[in-house]
Amino acid sequence: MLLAAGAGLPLYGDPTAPASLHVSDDYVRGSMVDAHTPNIVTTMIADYRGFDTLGETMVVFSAGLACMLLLRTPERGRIPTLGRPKGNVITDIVTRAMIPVIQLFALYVVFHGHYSPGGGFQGGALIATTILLARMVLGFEHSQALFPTALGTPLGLAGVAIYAGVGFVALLFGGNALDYSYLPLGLPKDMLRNWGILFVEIGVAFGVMGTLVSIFDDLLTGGRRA
Amino acid sequence: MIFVLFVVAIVAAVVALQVTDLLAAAALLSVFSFVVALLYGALGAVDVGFNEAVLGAGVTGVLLVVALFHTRRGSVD
Repeated sequence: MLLAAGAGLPLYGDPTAPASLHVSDDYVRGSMVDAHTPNIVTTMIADYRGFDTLGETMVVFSAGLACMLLLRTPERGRIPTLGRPKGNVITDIVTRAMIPVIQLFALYVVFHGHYSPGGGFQGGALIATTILLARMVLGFEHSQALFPTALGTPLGLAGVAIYAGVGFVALLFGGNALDYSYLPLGLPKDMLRNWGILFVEIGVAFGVMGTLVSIFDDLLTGGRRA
Repeated sequence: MIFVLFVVAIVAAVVALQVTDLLAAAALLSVFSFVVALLYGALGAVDVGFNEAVLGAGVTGVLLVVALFHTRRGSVD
């Protein structure tokens, strides 16, 4: 039945497919004009459909909260073999060399989401993978200096708050919520939307980063501080 | 090229189901995510491919390995 249904779908990339007929044309044409952003995907998810992305960020954060409810059982305890420093010179040095490089690339991905594939989700997940790498190779206690466990969930909440806050600021200054052209920055309309996309992408990056690290820490330690 | 990627993805998924060592199954699911990320890139959706590579092959693989350290490593069924 799956094959029979799949045979009836329109060809991939067909400009006359029903999905490409109604608003997609406006999005494709208006991305550079409305928001001064060449990356149409970023404009679409952060500007035209920004409310959906706010919902998605809230879903990511509530998944972190659900994992917190499920996994923080103090009687489970730490896994003794994970989270200890491995003591292997090669992995230690390579990890210590790679983490700053990956984090720099992650910052590039977040801030260049307008021009290259990327944006908030990818950059935030990349920084979270560096922290996970440090947790696994350098040991749980030593990597607290890189990112303390207690900072995970508040940072995720701060990400959602930044996104919702940008929408609320737009509401305060007279426009619809999440209509970035009403932000009080004193720039022309399309540059205002450009900056609005950047602010919400930073919020999304914080949200994803905090939630992923908090899920990993809950899985590894079960909420115990020891 | 896309056909080869599809074949590799299906083979990785089937072997991940059949193998009894759960750590190998987690590694094969990471391989599956990586191949699907390449497929998304080949179809032109580079943003989605980037996300799939980072989250699927990276974070999900790591979370699966940590989760299976809580249980036994051999599969029961």
